Amino acid sequence: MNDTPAKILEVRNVSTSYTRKSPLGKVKIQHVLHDVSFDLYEGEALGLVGESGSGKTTLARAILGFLPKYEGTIRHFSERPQVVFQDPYTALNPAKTVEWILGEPLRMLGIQDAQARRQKILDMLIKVGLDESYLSRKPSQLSGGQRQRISIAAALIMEPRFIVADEPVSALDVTIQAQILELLARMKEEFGLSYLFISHDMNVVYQLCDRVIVMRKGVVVEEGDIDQIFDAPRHPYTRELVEASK
Amino acid sequence: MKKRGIALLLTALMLLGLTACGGQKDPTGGTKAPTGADARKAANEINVGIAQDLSSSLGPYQLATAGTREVMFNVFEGLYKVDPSGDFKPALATDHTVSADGLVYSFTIREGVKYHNGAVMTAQDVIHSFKTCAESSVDSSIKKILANVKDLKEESGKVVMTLEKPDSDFLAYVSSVYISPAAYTEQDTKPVGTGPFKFVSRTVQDSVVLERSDAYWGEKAGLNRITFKIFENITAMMTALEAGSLDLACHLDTTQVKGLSKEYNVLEGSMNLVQALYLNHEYAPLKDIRVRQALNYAVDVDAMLKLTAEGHGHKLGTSIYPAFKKYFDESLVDAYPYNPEKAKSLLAEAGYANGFKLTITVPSNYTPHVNTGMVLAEQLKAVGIEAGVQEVEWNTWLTDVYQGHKFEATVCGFDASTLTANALLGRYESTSSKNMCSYKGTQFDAFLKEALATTDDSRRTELFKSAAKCLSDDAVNVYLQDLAEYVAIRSTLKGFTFYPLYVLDLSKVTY
Amino acid sequence: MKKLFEKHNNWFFKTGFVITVFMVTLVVIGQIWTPYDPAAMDAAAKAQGPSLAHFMGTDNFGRDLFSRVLEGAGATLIIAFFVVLLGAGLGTLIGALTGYFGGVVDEVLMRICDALTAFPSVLLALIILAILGPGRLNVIGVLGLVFIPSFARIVRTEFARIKKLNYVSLAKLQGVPTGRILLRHILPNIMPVLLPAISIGFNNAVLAEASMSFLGVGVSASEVSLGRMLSDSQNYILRGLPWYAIFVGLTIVLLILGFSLLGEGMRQEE
Repeated sequence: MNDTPAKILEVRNVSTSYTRKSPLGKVKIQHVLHDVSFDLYEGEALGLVGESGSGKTTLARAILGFLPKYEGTIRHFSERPQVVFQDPYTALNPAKTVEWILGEPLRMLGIQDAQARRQKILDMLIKVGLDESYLSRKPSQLSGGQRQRISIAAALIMEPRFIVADEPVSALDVTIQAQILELLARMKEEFGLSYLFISHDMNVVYQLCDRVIVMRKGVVVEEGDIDQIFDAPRHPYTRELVEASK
Repeated sequence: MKKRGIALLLTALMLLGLTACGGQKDPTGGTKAPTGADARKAANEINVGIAQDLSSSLGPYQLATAGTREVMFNVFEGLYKVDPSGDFKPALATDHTVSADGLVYSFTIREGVKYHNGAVMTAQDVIHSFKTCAESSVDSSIKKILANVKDLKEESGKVVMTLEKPDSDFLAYVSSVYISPAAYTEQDTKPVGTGPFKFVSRTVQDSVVLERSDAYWGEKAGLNRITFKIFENITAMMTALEAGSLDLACHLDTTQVKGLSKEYNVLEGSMNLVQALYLNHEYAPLKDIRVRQALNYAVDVDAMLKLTAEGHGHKLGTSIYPAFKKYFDESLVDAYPYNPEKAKSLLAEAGYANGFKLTITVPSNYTPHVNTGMVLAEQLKAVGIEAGVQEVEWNTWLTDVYQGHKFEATVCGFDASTLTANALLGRYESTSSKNMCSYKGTQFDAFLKEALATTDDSRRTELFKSAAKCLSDDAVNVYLQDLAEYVAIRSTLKGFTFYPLYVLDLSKVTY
Repeated sequence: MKKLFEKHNNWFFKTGFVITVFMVTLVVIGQIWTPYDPAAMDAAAKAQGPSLAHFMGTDNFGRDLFSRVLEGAGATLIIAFFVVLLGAGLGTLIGALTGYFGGVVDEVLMRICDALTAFPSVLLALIILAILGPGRLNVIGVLGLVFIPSFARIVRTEFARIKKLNYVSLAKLQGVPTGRILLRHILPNIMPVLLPAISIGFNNAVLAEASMSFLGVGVSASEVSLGRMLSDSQNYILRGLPWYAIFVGLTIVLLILGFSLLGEGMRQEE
């Protein structure tokens, strides 16, 4: 790793838990995240791997500012971090057209001129592999892959430097997965993006990421270079994950 | 999804059902009078339907409701008694004299009158009755009149009453003081009087039985026995009538008697009340006599009667109903013939060329008044007055309209508690607490005051009639009608007589 | 219209649409023109059955029933419109705020709604109207008020559900202000639930107005409405004038059938 790249994100000692009352009145504290710390650098794609329930989505929510309460600190060094969600069906407003969905972030950026917005939207559509004909469509008229392309377009149109991708391909079938991963990789190059790429699938992570954090039950069990993790996993859990993906 | 469709259909059906219930049961026409009616004829007795139970006490001074007074009129009598024309005729007194100053009344007591329990009526009974009535009557107006009697004594077989100040209507009140045996203590439950019928029994919520008094001092009653049957529900009463178990029912309306079988004759009488569009003279536009006259010209009473009562009803002209013949002035009926053009020009003269808003408040439980109000509103709209009808509960009407004077106009009917002109005209005196319309008529007040102080009957009648004419001249209200009401009586019966008061005289009814 | 039928391609919607359009057209015509003056009384034509001169017959004052039904249906629809406007408007506002923000206000408002719903709304309206007295504005106000909880509840549930969806999170991330999220992002998405509720609400409003006026606490005596007419007609059903009740009842049935089917049709899309 180069030592010059700037930090995009700094996560320090982040913990969160919820208390659960058993029927007998015993109070039980359930840890979701426990003392999680890591950094993300400019231009880096950091994979966050773990099975479901490992706390990776909670961590993503904390980073995006959707988690009202947690301990520790999360510092952003870029403006307007964006997200691509796993489920392309709930990520797009079903009542709106593609043009409106992609236009909304532009309106928020203060671009009031409809013509200017339209041009930017068209450019972005082409970048994500779609065209003008999609402008007036509603999400219900799109396939899963097309929806995910729109989601990516919606994230990119804000011109962020950092994107959280929460299982962006796991809901898609394999051929589409490859296309979307290819798109994400291309965009990363084109816009110089940093990714926090969350996935349960080692294979997918391997295709896109430079570095990996492995989480289990809210705790980071291993962190390292993608090749190191893949070739020489140290933690038994990591080994399990790697084995499963082969 | 199908379930919802069915539910929908059910809702629709229920809605249709909603319209179907609440309507009256169709009287099963043409039922032959069963043997019951024939049996009653053979026994010379009748069954009479009445709409509510009698008041809890049947004592002569405790008759709390009009329905009770109506029945007990056959049992009790006073020194004088009202006749069908509204005159007071000697009853338990054979005659009376009044002193020249109008203060001393002396009554000659009829000899040998026996009560239903066999006791003989005495002058002491009369004095006792007047005293008891003055102390305990449920009717406050009688108590008030009797308070004016400062001395009451027996003088050589006569009962002499001395008044504080003269009262030209005194005889009317004397007739409602029923004479009761002084020593008798069971009047509440086993009333005893001197009338043509004697009380036999009472079953609460069910019936009251009277029988002919064979010892009656006057012309004896035609029937042997009368059973009053109580129906709290008018539909049930009409059904009983149709089924032949009743021979007589009173106080019915047009729709109720429509379609009755031929077993019954329908007699038209009147309700003895003054229905009018009563106006609040405190309401700015109605202060002006021209506006009130305009209202009188704008209302077509004949058309209203045709629309609401098939043309039945007795037109008035002032606050005296026609059955009260002594004071009724036929010439006032058409004092304001229907003339919308004249109404419009009067309104324009008064500065209301573009009309004004008029809310007619009506008591919702009296359908005839509501319907009349609806028709009047339309007639007033025709001359440019923005009239609307507002229904209110009876209690609201009493507190807001009658007592609170919070109204612009209202349709209702006033009756006479006693058969005196003052009972109908007194409420228009400027100072009267009952002056709902806030009418201030100097001329009227003068006539009324003089009439009340005059003892000469013809002069007094003249003065009352002049006062009544003032109400017409000043267009105080739009006087409409005395509502028609109907009596259904078995066609084999005869001798039913209407009175200008709320009484039911069965003594002259015969088969 | 073709598009509308493509979107709601079922018989409920189509039948409801045809009935509603037919009724509303009649009512709109009735506001401009009626064969007779609906208020004109005619002693010569009292209580008649249907004839060429009077298509639905006349009432006890000789007024033309068809003209009155047209005017009455118009009045009833106008009342229903404002009742729903009030109920759905305030209900949506309350539901949106409580559903989106939750918290103490949500708890308090929803408990009030619970209390109100625990009481039959028509009965509640009846009591309030009995106190206030009859009149068109009172009916609108009171019915609108008692309609609020049902709308608030539906809207609250939807807002609470949708606020957790990713596109709302995304909008927050894009810096969309809360007001705009409520209005432009969430509100359009509750329409599939809100529109049938509005159509059923319309339905209930027509019925409630009819019930109130039928019971004598609705519109005042000199105002016309279907409920008022139904109430007046009941006295004449068995006195030789059944047409009065039948035609008024039929009009109410057709109106609510139309709205119910529309609502049902829209609901089928989900």
